[in-house]
Amino acid sequence: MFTTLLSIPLLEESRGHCTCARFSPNGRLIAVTQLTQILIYDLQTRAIHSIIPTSHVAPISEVAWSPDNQCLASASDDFTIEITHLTHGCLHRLMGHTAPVISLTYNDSGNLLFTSSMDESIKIWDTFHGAILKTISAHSESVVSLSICPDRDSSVLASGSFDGLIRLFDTRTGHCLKTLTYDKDWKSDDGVVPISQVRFSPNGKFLLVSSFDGIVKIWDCVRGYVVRTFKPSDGESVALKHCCGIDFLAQEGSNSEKLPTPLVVSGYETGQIYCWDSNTKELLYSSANDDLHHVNSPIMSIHCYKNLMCSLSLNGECYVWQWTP
Amino acid sequence: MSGYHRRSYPRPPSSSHRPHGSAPNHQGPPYQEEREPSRSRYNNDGQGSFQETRYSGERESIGHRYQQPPSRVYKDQKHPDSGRVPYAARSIRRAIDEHANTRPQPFFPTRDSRYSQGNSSPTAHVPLKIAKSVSSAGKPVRSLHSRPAPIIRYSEVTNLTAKYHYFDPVSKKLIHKDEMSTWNQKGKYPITGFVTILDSEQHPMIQARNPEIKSIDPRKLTSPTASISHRKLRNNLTNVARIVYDKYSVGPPPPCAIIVSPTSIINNTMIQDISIKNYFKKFGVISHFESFNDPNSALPLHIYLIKYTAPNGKLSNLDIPVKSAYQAVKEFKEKGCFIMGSNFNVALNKEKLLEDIKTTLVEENIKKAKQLSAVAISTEKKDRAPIAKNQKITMERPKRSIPYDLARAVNNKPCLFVSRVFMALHGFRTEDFKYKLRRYRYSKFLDHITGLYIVFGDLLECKKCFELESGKMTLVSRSRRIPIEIRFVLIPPVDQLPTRFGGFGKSTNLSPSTSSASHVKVYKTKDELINATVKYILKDLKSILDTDIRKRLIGPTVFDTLNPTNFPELMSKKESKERAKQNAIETAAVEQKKLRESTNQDFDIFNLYGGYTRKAIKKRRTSELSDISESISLKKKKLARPMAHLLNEDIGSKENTPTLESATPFDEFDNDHDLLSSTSSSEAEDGFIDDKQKVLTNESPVTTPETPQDDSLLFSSSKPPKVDVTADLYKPSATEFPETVYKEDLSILKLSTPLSIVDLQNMVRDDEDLFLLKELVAYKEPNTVNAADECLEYAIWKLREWKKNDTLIKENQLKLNEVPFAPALKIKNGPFKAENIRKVPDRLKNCYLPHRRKLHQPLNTVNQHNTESVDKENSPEKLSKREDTVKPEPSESVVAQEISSSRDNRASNRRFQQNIEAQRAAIGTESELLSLNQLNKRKKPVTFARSAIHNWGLYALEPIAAREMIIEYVGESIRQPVAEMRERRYLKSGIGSSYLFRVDENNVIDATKKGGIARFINHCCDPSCTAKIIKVGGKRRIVIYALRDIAANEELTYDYKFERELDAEERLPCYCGSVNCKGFLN
Repeated sequence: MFTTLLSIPLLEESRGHCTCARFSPNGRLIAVTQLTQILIYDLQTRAIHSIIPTSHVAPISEVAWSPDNQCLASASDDFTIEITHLTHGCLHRLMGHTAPVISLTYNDSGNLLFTSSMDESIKIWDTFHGAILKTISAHSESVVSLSICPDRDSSVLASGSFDGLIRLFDTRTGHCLKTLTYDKDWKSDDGVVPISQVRFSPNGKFLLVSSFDGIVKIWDCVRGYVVRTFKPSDGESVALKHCCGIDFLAQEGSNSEKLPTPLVVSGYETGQIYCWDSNTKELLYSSANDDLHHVNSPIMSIHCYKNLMCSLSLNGECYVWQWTP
Repeated sequence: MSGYHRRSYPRPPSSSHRPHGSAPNHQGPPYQEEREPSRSRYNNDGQGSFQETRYSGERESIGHRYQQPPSRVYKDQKHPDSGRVPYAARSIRRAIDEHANTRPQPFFPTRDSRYSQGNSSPTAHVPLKIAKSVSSAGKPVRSLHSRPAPIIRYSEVTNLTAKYHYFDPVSKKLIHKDEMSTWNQKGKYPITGFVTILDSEQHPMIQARNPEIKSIDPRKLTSPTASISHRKLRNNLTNVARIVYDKYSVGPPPPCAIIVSPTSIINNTMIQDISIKNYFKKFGVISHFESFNDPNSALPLHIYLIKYTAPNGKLSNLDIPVKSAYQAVKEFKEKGCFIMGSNFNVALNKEKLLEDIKTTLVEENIKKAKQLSAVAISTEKKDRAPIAKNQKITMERPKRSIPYDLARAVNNKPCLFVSRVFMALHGFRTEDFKYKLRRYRYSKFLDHITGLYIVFGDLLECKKCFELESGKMTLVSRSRRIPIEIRFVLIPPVDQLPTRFGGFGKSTNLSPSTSSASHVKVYKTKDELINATVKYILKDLKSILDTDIRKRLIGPTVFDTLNPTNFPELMSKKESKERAKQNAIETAAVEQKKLRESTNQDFDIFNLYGGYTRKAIKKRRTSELSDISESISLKKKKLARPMAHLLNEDIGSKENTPTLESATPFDEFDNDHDLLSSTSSSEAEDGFIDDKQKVLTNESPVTTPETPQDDSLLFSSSKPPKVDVTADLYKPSATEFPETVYKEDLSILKLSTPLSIVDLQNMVRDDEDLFLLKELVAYKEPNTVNAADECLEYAIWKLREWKKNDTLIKENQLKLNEVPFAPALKIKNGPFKAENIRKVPDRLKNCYLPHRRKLHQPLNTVNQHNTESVDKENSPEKLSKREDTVKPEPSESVVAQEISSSRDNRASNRRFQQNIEAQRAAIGTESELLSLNQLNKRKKPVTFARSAIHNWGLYALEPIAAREMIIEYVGESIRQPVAEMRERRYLKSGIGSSYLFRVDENNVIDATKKGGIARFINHCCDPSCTAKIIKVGGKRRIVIYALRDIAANEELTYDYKFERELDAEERLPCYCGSVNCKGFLN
């Protein structure tokens, strides 16, 4: 059961442009994109920590925390990525993409930054020098989502693109290891269903994928097939318009001998949040009847940290929820 | 995997198959040819039903595993290999065996026995004898023995030891030492010595010398028969190596000087010593240069002595000057030397050569001088009877007369003519002739459309020039680069009047009386003379009267009648017209003024001509303030005419009526007025920045720096960002129309973005601007200082920062992408993610995917950036270069691997194939494992990368020649019903049927899920490859062949040959970018 812990007050002018909210790796701060600024909210003091101005001239699509909680990388529509230190300000402006940057993620050690863009490429940057290392042009449409494997030295990067392909890359060589596609119910009138978001499971073996038909799937990345499929309702799949947020919520085990299965939390176009048990596919929570939060606004971002879940809708509502089994 | 919907699969009922027509057409002869030679190597009938490139490696390894067993087989079996031993060898071996058996001798004979054997059979030519014994003994002997004992061969051949045998030239055979008879039977030598004589059989033999017998030379005996020599007859001397002259050399030094002498006498005076010197400088350092003059005339003989020396550093090397002299001579030995259009001989200065040349030339000159004087005398003589002579001359040449339009210029003087066609043909210019003929006293050169006329004042000179130069003078043709002889045509003066013989050019039309003194014409009577004179005088008087009347009477009358005062009605009309024009311009100027915010036009002094514009400006000035409010409403109104047009018009009017509008007192007054007012306005300029900032804050809230869109038009026409405001700017300019102090910068107008603070700050340049701005926004001085004003500086700084970043990023985007981002793709508000998903059309993708714009520049899937050189500016050029540097690595390795390929590789492969076949036959199974894909061996190194045509493309890693096989189209080979089923399934799942390739009626190759990289080949309307179906081992295979030579890194394409789709929606657009692209795939 999700209970609202708090609501983060966002800037007025950013309404309708909020796309990303992220817990810092230590869970103390939440970064929310506010047009060209980043709002940092302190969970401990329950107050706005700071508002970081960036040198972007176009709104930010996504932010990523560096593993040391010190830096924020922001992907902007002005084709640049900026790495900002919380106390020292801007460190790097990474230029190289030829179209809006959509998604980005750090690797585990924080020395590499992976960015994906509308220009169909994924670029790997050296965060220390701000230099570009590799360009992977393996997709044929905008690459909208990246996720780094939390396990195994973050050696595998997953990408989801509007061309309907989910690709797994070796982060060292940049070569494609596997392409996840051609699922049995993977079909539509237009041929392909664009992928809206990919997210690795905490153990790095599964990939949570949401596509624009509103169906959330868990892929076994090693074997290359779908192991679980979640639909918000029994009815027909609906064509979405936004990259709605999804995430795994790793429950903290109450009893030590057996870890509870992670939950799948998914946001939807009309502001609902669903939560399933990833093992039993049982719907555990649904905010379909909730008239207080995220009314009729697409959930742009869902991010979980331990038992906490942060949801952000496009209209600028941002809530932190707490999961109680 | 990607690239869905690329090719539409032909409809099943259609009769034509994928590679249109190629299958039926090429079943015949072309493939016959392909199959014929391959029958032996392609005879593995059990080819796998589907071949796949990625399996090929596996198969090869299997093959290698099986390579070992055959060698073992050879060892164990009694192989028919023995059949290959030559028959003769076998028979000899057998013969030796038998010989050994037939003889009752020990197999290991002792030394003694060997000798005894040799002695007992003195004629023992052992091998021969053995051969004979074989034939006599026959096979039955051998058959008695079960098996011959092993033989040690050297025991048998000891008798063959060569040292005991000598060749007897008489009996012509080998003779054993013991048999040989000595010629010196008696064992003593004759006292008289030996002599060679011929015996009865004409053989030379040696005898004791006998005084009677004459010795003969045995060499001569054979001469008639042995006369055929294989040596080539030498017809020239062999080259002896040049012995370098150095300080140790003995004898006189080789010549290091050359003489340049003209081949024929040169009249070209423009050849100067320096040019010759420069010409020969290229062979070495010239130490001495001397030119010689004719001792008689002191004219240059054009003989030059050039001495070479070694360059400064190598003075000790005596060979260098010799070498350079030699080289200079060698260079011009055959083709001769042309310098400035003259022909020269170049020779080494040997002995008296210089003197010889000099004397001959001087003699020639003397001869020529004599001739010249003779000619001069003769021409002078001829002048006495000019008419006849002239006619004679003109008869020689095609008759040419001076064109009518030149007649006056030539003024009936003698001239030489060169045709224009001739000049144009060789690219001669008038200057060339001027230079060449500068020694002659010509009076002028007339360049005419028909040709060049060289007018002489004197017929004598003209003729002299003609005779000396015509056909002798040479000019270097600019088009052919060879000297061309110039032939002139002499045009003598035509005798219109008997008195007009061109003596010394003094006779002109205007002064016949003065020149009459020199007239040669003799009048018969005095009356005649008087008559003629009177005629001339009358003519002259008449002409003078004519001009006088024209000047003094007609002219003034005409001018008087044309006086405008005589035509009041016309003038009034004109004035009214003028006024209308003025009004039009005035209104235009007013509007223009409203669009402007200039303060300092006042300083312009308007020049005298454009007087009527004064009024417009005056009006502007008076209505300046009152117009401003009005101007806001009017601001969107466009100028009636663009400024440039106005100016043009005015220039025109100035030309037409220059006097009417000039310098009225009113103008001057106006100018003064302007000057006065302008000084007052410029005084108030100080501190306008402070004011302006205040204005700005009130006028626009800090957070929204953009002024309302309406205002932007007004501001935009104001002054541009030029910071250094100097007094010069305000200086009046002498233009017709007032100019703004700062140049108008309309570029701001074009920006789609709203005005930024920077734009605004740049716009407001001075007091007047500020004033207008204040008016515009209805600014009122604040009574109290707002608290918000404290943040003002920060807010402005922030806005400026933002602007700075914006321009920086825009520049960078352009640098990276070269093409601005398509406005259709621009995200209106909010980030990319906040926008609804939309499909980007392929056409628009070009604007943000640089690789899509570059044909034949594959974008590697993984592009390794060079970390050293990566810095902030990753320009596309750099990126592409880096790609290039990265690229060769794989290709090189492939090349190295493939270098041995082609023929050798294929041959060895064939052998290997045969082995495998044999192996298979031995095993007797139709196992798939052993079937080889021999097409794989002929494959060219290709790779796939992101393509400009469609997602992925196939690229050649190294150059491929035309008609070479490139790669096989590999995929699952399926039957027609399966293909139909799969097609339906693929279509349903959205993959499309692009990778289905029909082989024949029953078979389709499906590369959708399992296939080689040939499936990445894109369609192109101007393809570089073609797909052919060939039969390999009974199976039809699709193979891609090069149609033309393909460069490395070029994308491979072939024509998909889809059927024409009638439904417009079904048609697939083609992005191949070739010149003759049809626009659609189907």
